[in-house]
Amino acid sequence: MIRAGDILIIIFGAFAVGFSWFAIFNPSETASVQIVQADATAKNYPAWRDEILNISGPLGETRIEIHDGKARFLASPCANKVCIRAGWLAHAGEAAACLPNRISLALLGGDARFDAVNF
Amino acid sequence: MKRAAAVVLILLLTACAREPDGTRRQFFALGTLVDITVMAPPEKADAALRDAEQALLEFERRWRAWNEGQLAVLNGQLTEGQPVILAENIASGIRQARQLERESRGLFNPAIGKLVELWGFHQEERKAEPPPSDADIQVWLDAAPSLNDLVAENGKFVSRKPQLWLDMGAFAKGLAVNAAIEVLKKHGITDAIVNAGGDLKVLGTHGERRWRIGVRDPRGPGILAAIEVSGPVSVFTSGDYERWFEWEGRRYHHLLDPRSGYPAMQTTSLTVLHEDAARADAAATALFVAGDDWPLIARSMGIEAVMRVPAEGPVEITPAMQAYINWEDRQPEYRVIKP
Repeated sequence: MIRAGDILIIIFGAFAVGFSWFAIFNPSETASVQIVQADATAKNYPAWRDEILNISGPLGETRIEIHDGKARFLASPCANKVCIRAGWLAHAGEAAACLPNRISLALLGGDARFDAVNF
Repeated sequence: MKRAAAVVLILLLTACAREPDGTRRQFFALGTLVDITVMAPPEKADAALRDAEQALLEFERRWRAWNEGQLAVLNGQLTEGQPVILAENIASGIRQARQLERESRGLFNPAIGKLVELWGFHQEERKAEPPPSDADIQVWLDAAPSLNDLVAENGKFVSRKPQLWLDMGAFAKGLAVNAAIEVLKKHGITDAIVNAGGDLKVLGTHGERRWRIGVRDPRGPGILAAIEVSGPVSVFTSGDYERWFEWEGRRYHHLLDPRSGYPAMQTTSLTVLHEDAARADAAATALFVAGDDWPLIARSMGIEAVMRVPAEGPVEITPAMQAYINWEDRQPEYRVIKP
Protein backbone atom coordinates (compact mmCIF):
# COMPACT_ATOMS: atom_id res chain seq x y z
CA MET A 1 0.00 0.00 0.00
CA ILE A 2 1.34 3.44 -0.93
CA ARG A 3 1.67 5.85 1.93
CA ALA A 4 2.00 9.65 2.01
CA GLY A 5 5.77 9.35 2.60
CA ASP A 6 6.15 7.22 -0.53
CA ILE A 7 4.32 9.79 -2.64
CA LEU A 8 6.54 12.58 -1.30
CA ILE A 9 9.70 10.61 -2.08
CA ILE A 10 8.47 9.79 -5.61
CA ILE A 11 7.59 13.48 -6.28
CA PHE A 12 11.00 14.55 -4.96
CA GLY A 13 12.65 11.85 -7.03
CA ALA A 14 10.86 12.91 -10.23
CA PHE A 15 12.11 16.50 -9.78
CA ALA A 16 15.65 15.33 -9.01
CA VAL A 17 15.73 13.05 -12.06
CA GLY A 18 14.38 15.80 -14.33
CA PHE A 19 16.94 18.27 -13.01
CA SER A 20 19.79 15.77 -13.50
CA TRP A 21 18.81 15.09 -17.10
CA PHE A 22 18.57 18.80 -17.82
CA ALA A 23 21.84 19.68 -16.10
CA ILE A 24 23.81 16.87 -17.72
CA PHE A 25 22.38 16.40 -21.17
CA ASN A 26 21.11 19.82 -22.23
CA PRO A 27 23.21 20.35 -25.37
CA SER A 28 22.80 24.10 -25.50
CA GLU A 29 24.58 24.31 -22.14
CA THR A 30 27.51 22.16 -23.26
CA ALA A 31 27.91 22.87 -26.99
CA SER A 32 31.02 24.80 -27.92
CA VAL A 33 33.14 25.49 -30.97
CA GLN A 34 36.73 24.27 -30.81
CA ILE A 35 39.36 25.86 -33.02
CA VAL A 36 42.80 24.29 -33.31
CA GLN A 37 45.67 26.32 -34.79
CA ALA A 38 48.91 25.23 -36.42
CA ASP A 39 50.81 25.16 -33.13
CA ALA A 40 48.13 22.75 -31.80
CA THR A 41 46.69 25.42 -29.52
CA ALA A 42 43.03 24.51 -28.99
CA LYS A 43 40.58 27.19 -27.91
CA ASN A 44 36.88 26.74 -27.18
CA TYR A 45 34.19 29.34 -27.89
CA PRO A 46 30.54 29.13 -26.78
CA ALA A 47 28.33 28.04 -29.67
CA TRP A 48 25.43 30.20 -28.42
CA ARG A 49 27.36 33.48 -28.82
CA ASP A 50 27.23 34.79 -32.39
CA GLU A 51 30.61 36.13 -33.45
CA ILE A 52 33.14 36.30 -36.28
CA LEU A 53 36.68 35.27 -35.40
CA ASN A 54 39.89 36.09 -37.24
CA ILE A 55 42.41 33.28 -36.74
CA SER A 56 46.01 33.51 -37.95
CA GLY A 57 47.72 30.69 -39.82
CA PRO A 58 50.85 30.33 -41.94
CA LEU A 59 49.06 31.69 -45.06
CA GLY A 60 47.31 34.59 -43.34
CA GLU A 61 43.99 35.17 -41.62
CA THR A 62 41.06 32.78 -41.75
CA ARG A 63 37.61 34.07 -40.75
CA ILE A 64 35.27 31.76 -38.85
CA GLU A 65 31.63 32.54 -38.18
CA ILE A 66 29.65 31.22 -35.22
CA HIS A 67 25.91 31.75 -35.54
CA ASP A 68 22.91 30.19 -33.85
CA GLY A 69 24.86 27.23 -32.49
CA LYS A 70 26.52 26.50 -35.85
CA ALA A 71 29.98 27.34 -37.18
CA ARG A 72 31.64 27.66 -40.58
CA PHE A 73 34.71 28.87 -42.42
CA LEU A 74 33.72 32.22 -43.87
CA ALA A 75 36.94 33.28 -45.62
CA SER A 76 40.38 31.77 -46.01
CA PRO A 77 43.59 32.64 -47.88
CA CYS A 78 43.96 29.03 -49.16
CA ALA A 79 43.65 28.38 -52.90
CA ASN A 80 41.02 25.67 -53.15
CA LYS A 81 38.58 26.84 -50.42
CA VAL A 82 37.77 23.26 -49.42
CA CYS A 83 37.19 24.53 -45.87
CA ILE A 84 34.58 27.05 -47.04
CA ARG A 85 32.85 24.47 -49.20
CA ALA A 86 32.38 22.29 -46.09
CA GLY A 87 29.61 24.77 -45.14
CA TRP A 88 27.95 25.01 -41.75
CA LEU A 89 28.80 22.54 -39.01
CA ALA A 90 25.51 22.06 -37.21
CA HIS A 91 25.85 18.93 -35.03
CA ALA A 92 28.24 18.08 -32.23
CA GLY A 93 31.03 15.87 -33.52
CA GLU A 94 31.19 17.53 -36.96
CA ALA A 95 34.54 18.98 -37.98
CA ALA A 96 36.20 20.75 -40.90
CA ALA A 97 39.73 21.96 -41.47
CA CYS A 98 41.74 24.33 -43.59
CA LEU A 99 44.86 22.19 -43.97
CA PRO A 100 46.92 24.73 -45.97
CA ASN A 101 46.37 27.35 -43.27
CA ARG A 102 46.48 24.72 -40.52
CA ILE A 103 43.24 25.64 -38.76
CA SER A 104 40.56 23.17 -37.75
CA LEU A 105 37.04 23.72 -36.56
CA ALA A 106 34.90 21.27 -34.56
CA LEU A 107 31.56 21.39 -32.79
CA LEU A 108 31.71 19.84 -29.35
CA GLY A 109 28.78 19.05 -27.11
CA GLY A 110 26.75 16.57 -25.16
CA ASP A 111 24.70 15.37 -28.13
CA ALA A 112 27.46 14.04 -30.40
CA ARG A 113 26.08 11.25 -32.60
CA PHE A 114 29.50 9.93 -33.54
CA ASP A 115 32.93 9.54 -32.00
CA ALA A 116 34.47 10.27 -35.42
CA VAL A 117 33.42 10.86 -39.00
CA ASN A 118 35.12 8.73 -41.66
CA PHE A 119 35.68 10.39 -45.04
CA MET B 1 8.86 3.48 1.97
CA LYS B 2 12.07 1.53 1.30
CA ARG B 3 10.74 0.36 -2.07
CA ALA B 4 9.90 3.95 -3.14
CA ALA B 5 13.33 5.16 -2.07
CA ALA B 6 14.96 2.35 -4.08
CA VAL B 7 12.99 3.32 -7.20
CA VAL B 8 14.11 6.95 -6.84
CA LEU B 9 17.73 5.89 -6.35
CA ILE B 10 17.66 3.75 -9.51
CA LEU B 11 16.14 6.62 -11.51
CA LEU B 12 18.78 9.03 -10.23
CA LEU B 13 21.62 6.67 -11.06
CA THR B 14 20.21 6.25 -14.58
CA ALA B 15 19.93 10.01 -15.02
CA CYS B 16 23.51 10.53 -13.91
CA ALA B 17 24.99 7.80 -16.13
CA ARG B 18 26.63 10.24 -18.51
CA GLU B 19 29.10 8.77 -20.95
CA PRO B 20 32.76 9.23 -20.04
CA ASP B 21 34.48 11.90 -22.14
CA GLY B 22 38.00 10.53 -22.30
CA THR B 23 41.08 12.69 -22.82
CA ARG B 24 41.58 14.23 -26.24
CA ARG B 25 44.52 15.69 -28.19
CA GLN B 26 44.45 17.27 -31.65
CA PHE B 27 47.41 18.26 -33.79
CA PHE B 28 48.49 18.56 -37.42
CA ALA B 29 50.58 15.68 -38.75
CA LEU B 30 50.69 13.44 -41.87
CA GLY B 31 49.33 16.40 -43.85
CA THR B 32 46.06 16.36 -41.95
CA LEU B 33 44.43 16.96 -38.58
CA VAL B 34 45.02 14.09 -36.17
CA ASP B 35 42.53 13.63 -33.33
CA ILE B 36 43.24 11.07 -30.59
CA THR B 37 40.84 10.25 -27.76
CA VAL B 38 41.92 7.98 -24.93
CA MET B 39 39.34 6.64 -22.49
CA ALA B 40 41.41 7.42 -19.41
CA PRO B 41 41.81 10.41 -17.08
CA PRO B 42 44.39 13.05 -18.08
CA GLU B 43 46.90 11.91 -15.45
CA LYS B 44 47.10 8.52 -17.19
CA ALA B 45 46.46 9.68 -20.76
CA ASP B 46 48.72 12.72 -21.14
CA ALA B 47 52.08 10.94 -21.43
CA ALA B 48 50.59 8.38 -23.83
CA LEU B 49 49.09 11.11 -26.03
CA ARG B 50 52.35 13.07 -26.07
CA ASP B 51 54.34 10.01 -27.15
CA ALA B 52 51.76 9.08 -29.81
CA GLU B 53 51.99 12.60 -31.22
CA GLN B 54 55.80 12.37 -31.36
CA ALA B 55 55.56 8.99 -33.12
CA LEU B 56 53.27 10.43 -35.79
CA LEU B 57 55.44 13.50 -36.35
CA GLU B 58 58.46 11.23 -36.75
CA PHE B 59 56.50 9.14 -39.24
CA GLU B 60 55.70 12.23 -41.26
CA ARG B 61 59.38 13.17 -41.50
CA ARG B 62 60.27 9.63 -42.57
CA TRP B 63 57.57 8.95 -45.15
CA ARG B 64 57.03 12.31 -46.84
CA ALA B 65 57.54 11.63 -50.55
CA TRP B 66 58.10 15.24 -51.56
CA ASN B 67 60.13 18.24 -50.33
CA GLU B 68 62.50 17.37 -47.46
CA GLY B 69 61.11 14.01 -46.33
CA GLN B 70 63.46 11.05 -45.82
CA LEU B 71 61.60 9.20 -48.58
CA ALA B 72 61.93 12.23 -50.89
CA VAL B 73 65.73 12.13 -50.52
CA LEU B 74 65.74 8.39 -51.29
CA ASN B 75 63.53 8.97 -54.31
CA GLY B 76 65.99 11.51 -55.67
CA GLN B 77 68.88 9.05 -55.32
CA LEU B 78 66.91 6.18 -56.87
CA THR B 79 65.88 8.31 -59.86
CA GLU B 80 69.55 9.10 -60.51
CA GLY B 81 70.31 5.37 -60.51
CA GLN B 82 72.26 5.45 -57.25
CA PRO B 83 72.21 2.34 -55.02
CA VAL B 84 70.74 3.28 -51.62
CA ILE B 85 70.80 1.74 -48.17
CA LEU B 86 67.36 1.77 -46.63
CA ALA B 87 66.89 2.25 -42.89
CA GLU B 88 65.22 -0.86 -41.45
CA ASN B 89 61.95 0.94 -40.69
CA ILE B 90 61.68 2.13 -44.32
CA ALA B 91 62.78 -1.26 -45.70
CA SER B 92 60.20 -3.14 -43.63
CA GLY B 93 57.47 -0.70 -44.76
CA ILE B 94 58.47 -1.26 -48.38
CA ARG B 95 58.41 -5.06 -47.92
CA GLN B 96 54.89 -4.80 -46.51
CA ALA B 97 53.82 -2.48 -49.35
CA ARG B 98 55.28 -4.86 -51.93
CA GLN B 99 53.18 -7.72 -50.54
CA LEU B 100 50.03 -5.53 -50.63
CA GLU B 101 50.81 -4.40 -54.17
CA ARG B 102 51.01 -8.04 -55.22
CA GLU B 103 47.74 -8.99 -53.46
CA SER B 104 45.97 -5.99 -55.03
CA ARG B 105 47.17 -7.07 -58.51
CA GLY B 106 48.97 -3.76 -58.89
CA LEU B 107 45.96 -1.53 -58.17
CA PHE B 108 47.67 -0.33 -54.99
CA ASN B 109 50.89 0.90 -56.53
CA PRO B 110 53.29 2.82 -54.26
CA ALA B 111 55.65 3.49 -57.21
CA ILE B 112 53.08 5.83 -58.74
CA GLY B 113 54.69 9.09 -57.54
CA LYS B 114 55.60 10.44 -60.98
CA LEU B 115 52.03 9.97 -62.20
CA VAL B 116 50.73 11.75 -59.08
CA GLU B 117 53.16 14.58 -59.87
CA LEU B 118 51.95 14.75 -63.50
CA TRP B 119 48.43 15.36 -62.20
CA GLY B 120 49.69 17.91 -59.64
CA PHE B 121 48.23 16.02 -56.66
CA HIS B 122 51.62 15.93 -54.91
CA GLN B 123 51.18 19.58 -53.94
CA GLU B 124 49.31 20.46 -50.76
CA GLU B 125 47.48 23.05 -52.84
CA ARG B 126 47.27 22.12 -56.51
CA LYS B 127 47.96 25.00 -58.89
CA ALA B 128 45.20 25.95 -61.34
CA GLU B 129 46.60 24.18 -64.39
CA PRO B 130 45.21 21.75 -66.98
CA PRO B 131 45.35 17.96 -66.53
CA PRO B 132 48.37 16.23 -68.08
CA SER B 133 48.34 15.43 -71.79
CA ASP B 134 47.50 11.94 -73.05
CA ALA B 135 51.06 11.74 -74.42
CA ASP B 136 52.63 12.45 -71.00
CA ILE B 137 50.40 9.85 -69.38
CA GLN B 138 51.32 7.33 -72.07
CA VAL B 139 55.04 7.81 -71.35
CA TRP B 140 54.38 6.86 -67.73
CA LEU B 141 52.16 3.92 -68.75
CA ASP B 142 54.87 2.61 -71.09
CA ALA B 143 57.32 2.53 -68.18
CA ALA B 144 54.64 1.23 -65.71
CA PRO B 145 56.91 1.32 -62.65
CA SER B 146 56.01 -0.85 -59.67
CA LEU B 147 57.72 -1.93 -56.44
CA ASN B 148 59.03 -4.96 -58.35
CA ASP B 149 61.38 -2.50 -60.07
CA LEU B 150 63.07 -1.77 -56.75
CA VAL B 151 65.62 -4.55 -56.45
CA ALA B 152 68.22 -5.49 -53.84
CA GLU B 153 71.85 -5.73 -55.01
CA ASN B 154 74.73 -6.33 -52.59
CA GLY B 155 72.76 -5.12 -49.58
CA LYS B 156 71.58 -1.97 -51.35
CA PHE B 157 68.45 -1.10 -53.30
CA VAL B 158 68.49 0.13 -56.88
CA SER B 159 65.69 1.20 -59.16
CA ARG B 160 65.43 -0.42 -62.59
CA LYS B 161 63.31 2.48 -63.91
CA PRO B 162 63.93 6.23 -63.65
CA GLN B 163 60.13 6.75 -63.63
CA LEU B 164 59.90 4.97 -60.25
CA TRP B 165 59.07 7.46 -57.48
CA LEU B 166 57.79 6.09 -54.20
CA ASP B 167 54.65 7.78 -52.91
CA MET B 168 53.21 5.94 -49.93
CA GLY B 169 50.16 8.22 -49.72
CA ALA B 170 47.77 5.25 -49.79
CA PHE B 171 49.65 3.32 -47.13
CA ALA B 172 51.81 5.46 -44.83
CA LYS B 173 48.83 6.90 -42.97
CA GLY B 174 47.72 3.37 -42.08
CA LEU B 175 51.23 2.45 -40.94
CA ALA B 176 51.37 5.61 -38.82
CA VAL B 177 47.99 4.93 -37.22
CA ASN B 178 49.15 1.39 -36.34
CA ALA B 179 52.29 2.86 -34.76
CA ALA B 180 50.31 5.40 -32.71
CA ILE B 181 48.02 2.65 -31.40
CA GLU B 182 51.07 0.57 -30.40
CA VAL B 183 52.48 3.56 -28.47
CA LEU B 184 49.17 3.94 -26.61
CA LYS B 185 49.13 0.22 -25.77
CA LYS B 186 52.66 0.42 -24.35
CA HIS B 187 51.32 3.05 -21.93
CA GLY B 188 48.65 0.60 -20.78
CA ILE B 189 45.82 2.26 -22.73
CA THR B 190 43.11 -0.25 -23.65
CA ASP B 191 40.40 2.01 -25.12
CA ALA B 192 41.21 4.72 -27.67
CA ILE B 193 40.57 6.09 -31.12
CA VAL B 194 43.27 7.48 -33.43
CA ASN B 195 41.67 9.50 -36.21
CA ALA B 196 44.00 10.83 -38.92
CA GLY B 197 41.90 13.12 -41.08
CA GLY B 198 38.91 10.78 -41.17
CA ASP B 199 40.76 7.46 -41.45
CA LEU B 200 41.06 5.76 -38.09
CA LYS B 201 41.70 2.83 -35.82
CA VAL B 202 39.93 2.06 -32.56
CA LEU B 203 41.05 0.08 -29.56
CA GLY B 204 38.57 -1.41 -27.09
CA THR B 205 35.33 0.48 -26.50
CA HIS B 206 34.00 3.93 -25.63
CA GLY B 207 33.06 3.26 -22.02
CA GLU B 208 30.17 0.82 -21.94
CA ARG B 209 29.39 0.98 -25.65
CA ARG B 210 31.06 0.37 -28.99
CA TRP B 211 32.70 3.23 -30.90
CA ARG B 212 30.30 4.99 -33.27
CA ILE B 213 31.85 6.03 -36.59
CA GLY B 214 29.86 8.09 -39.09
CA VAL B 215 30.67 7.52 -42.77
CA ARG B 216 30.22 10.64 -44.85
CA ASP B 217 27.61 10.53 -47.61
CA PRO B 218 29.63 11.08 -50.81
CA ARG B 219 26.57 12.21 -52.73
CA GLY B 220 25.45 15.00 -50.45
CA PRO B 221 25.73 16.58 -47.02
CA GLY B 222 25.39 14.45 -43.91
CA ILE B 223 26.14 10.90 -42.91
CA LEU B 224 25.43 7.84 -45.04
CA ALA B 225 25.83 5.19 -42.36
CA ALA B 226 27.03 4.64 -38.82
CA ILE B 227 29.51 1.86 -38.20
CA GLU B 228 29.59 0.57 -34.62
CA VAL B 229 32.76 -1.31 -33.73
CA SER B 230 34.87 -2.38 -30.80
CA GLY B 231 38.59 -2.59 -31.39
CA PRO B 232 41.08 -3.36 -32.53
CA VAL B 233 39.72 -2.42 -35.92
CA SER B 234 40.53 0.21 -38.55
CA VAL B 235 37.99 2.08 -40.68
CA PHE B 236 39.39 3.56 -43.91
CA THR B 237 37.48 5.28 -46.70
CA SER B 238 38.62 6.43 -50.15
CA GLY B 239 36.35 9.03 -51.76
CA ASP B 240 36.41 11.01 -54.98
CA TYR B 241 35.47 14.17 -53.05
CA GLU B 242 38.68 14.34 -50.99
CA ARG B 243 41.03 16.02 -53.50
CA TRP B 244 39.94 17.13 -56.93
CA PHE B 245 39.97 19.97 -59.42
CA GLU B 246 37.84 21.12 -62.30
CA TRP B 247 39.16 21.99 -65.73
CA GLU B 248 36.92 23.17 -68.56
CA GLY B 249 33.83 21.84 -66.82
CA ARG B 250 35.25 18.39 -66.09
CA ARG B 251 36.08 17.10 -62.63
CA TYR B 252 39.27 15.14 -61.91
CA HIS B 253 39.98 13.48 -58.54
CA HIS B 254 43.17 12.14 -56.97
CA LEU B 255 42.51 8.36 -56.97
CA LEU B 256 44.47 7.38 -60.05
CA ASP B 257 44.15 4.06 -61.84
CA PRO B 258 47.67 2.80 -62.63
CA ARG B 259 46.22 0.84 -65.61
CA SER B 260 44.88 3.91 -67.42
CA GLY B 261 46.80 6.77 -65.79
CA TYR B 262 43.48 8.59 -65.21
CA PRO B 263 41.23 8.96 -62.15
CA ALA B 264 39.15 5.82 -61.50
CA MET B 265 35.56 6.74 -62.33
CA GLN B 266 33.32 3.78 -61.40
CA THR B 267 33.27 4.41 -57.64
CA THR B 268 32.34 7.44 -55.53
CA SER B 269 33.45 6.17 -52.13
CA LEU B 270 34.58 2.90 -50.65
CA THR B 271 34.97 1.95 -46.98
CA VAL B 272 36.79 -1.07 -45.57
CA LEU B 273 37.29 -2.50 -42.08
CA HIS B 274 40.36 -4.48 -41.08
CA GLU B 275 42.42 -4.86 -37.93
CA ASP B 276 45.63 -3.77 -39.69
CA ALA B 277 45.35 -0.06 -40.58
CA ALA B 278 48.08 -0.27 -43.25
CA ARG B 279 46.21 -3.06 -45.05
CA ALA B 280 42.91 -1.18 -44.68
CA ASP B 281 44.52 1.97 -46.11
CA ALA B 282 45.96 0.18 -49.17
CA ALA B 283 42.76 -1.83 -49.69
CA ALA B 284 40.50 1.24 -49.60
CA THR B 285 42.52 2.65 -52.51
CA ALA B 286 42.88 -0.62 -54.46
CA LEU B 287 39.20 -1.56 -54.18
CA PHE B 288 38.17 1.98 -55.17
CA VAL B 289 40.39 1.82 -58.25
CA ALA B 290 39.13 -1.70 -59.10
CA GLY B 291 35.63 -0.28 -59.80
CA ASP B 292 33.06 -3.04 -60.41
CA ASP B 293 35.76 -5.71 -59.95
CA TRP B 294 36.25 -4.82 -56.28
CA PRO B 295 35.01 -8.21 -54.91
CA LEU B 296 37.87 -9.94 -56.71
CA ILE B 297 40.48 -7.63 -55.18
CA ALA B 298 38.79 -7.80 -51.74
CA ARG B 299 39.16 -11.58 -51.85
CA SER B 300 42.82 -11.48 -52.82
CA MET B 301 43.60 -8.86 -50.13
CA GLY B 302 41.70 -10.70 -47.38
CA ILE B 303 39.17 -7.89 -46.86
CA GLU B 304 35.73 -9.06 -45.73
CA ALA B 305 33.92 -5.89 -44.60
CA VAL B 306 33.34 -3.45 -47.50
CA MET B 307 30.82 -0.74 -48.32
CA ARG B 308 30.95 0.78 -51.81
CA VAL B 309 29.02 3.70 -53.23
CA PRO B 310 29.31 3.24 -57.01
CA ALA B 311 29.08 6.16 -59.41
CA GLU B 312 25.74 4.71 -60.54
CA GLY B 313 23.38 2.24 -58.89
CA PRO B 314 22.66 1.10 -55.36
CA VAL B 315 25.14 1.04 -52.49
CA GLU B 316 26.94 -2.30 -52.19
CA ILE B 317 27.86 -3.93 -48.88
CA THR B 318 29.32 -7.28 -47.90
CA PRO B 319 27.60 -9.50 -45.30
CA ALA B 320 30.51 -8.83 -42.89
CA MET B 321 29.99 -5.06 -43.18
CA GLN B 322 26.22 -5.41 -42.83
CA ALA B 323 26.73 -6.61 -39.25
CA TYR B 324 28.23 -3.24 -38.26
CA ILE B 325 26.04 -0.85 -40.26
CA ASN B 326 23.19 1.40 -39.16
CA TRP B 327 21.77 3.58 -41.92
CA GLU B 328 21.52 7.13 -40.64
CA ASP B 329 19.89 10.17 -42.26
CA ARG B 330 18.16 8.04 -44.91
CA GLN B 331 18.27 4.37 -45.83
CA PRO B 332 19.68 4.17 -49.35
CA GLU B 333 18.84 1.47 -51.86
CA TYR B 334 21.49 -1.18 -51.28
CA ARG B 335 22.42 -4.71 -52.19
CA VAL B 336 24.52 -7.28 -50.37
CA ILE B 337 27.45 -8.71 -52.32
CA LYS B 338 29.62 -11.60 -51.19
CA PRO B 339 33.26 -11.05 -52.13
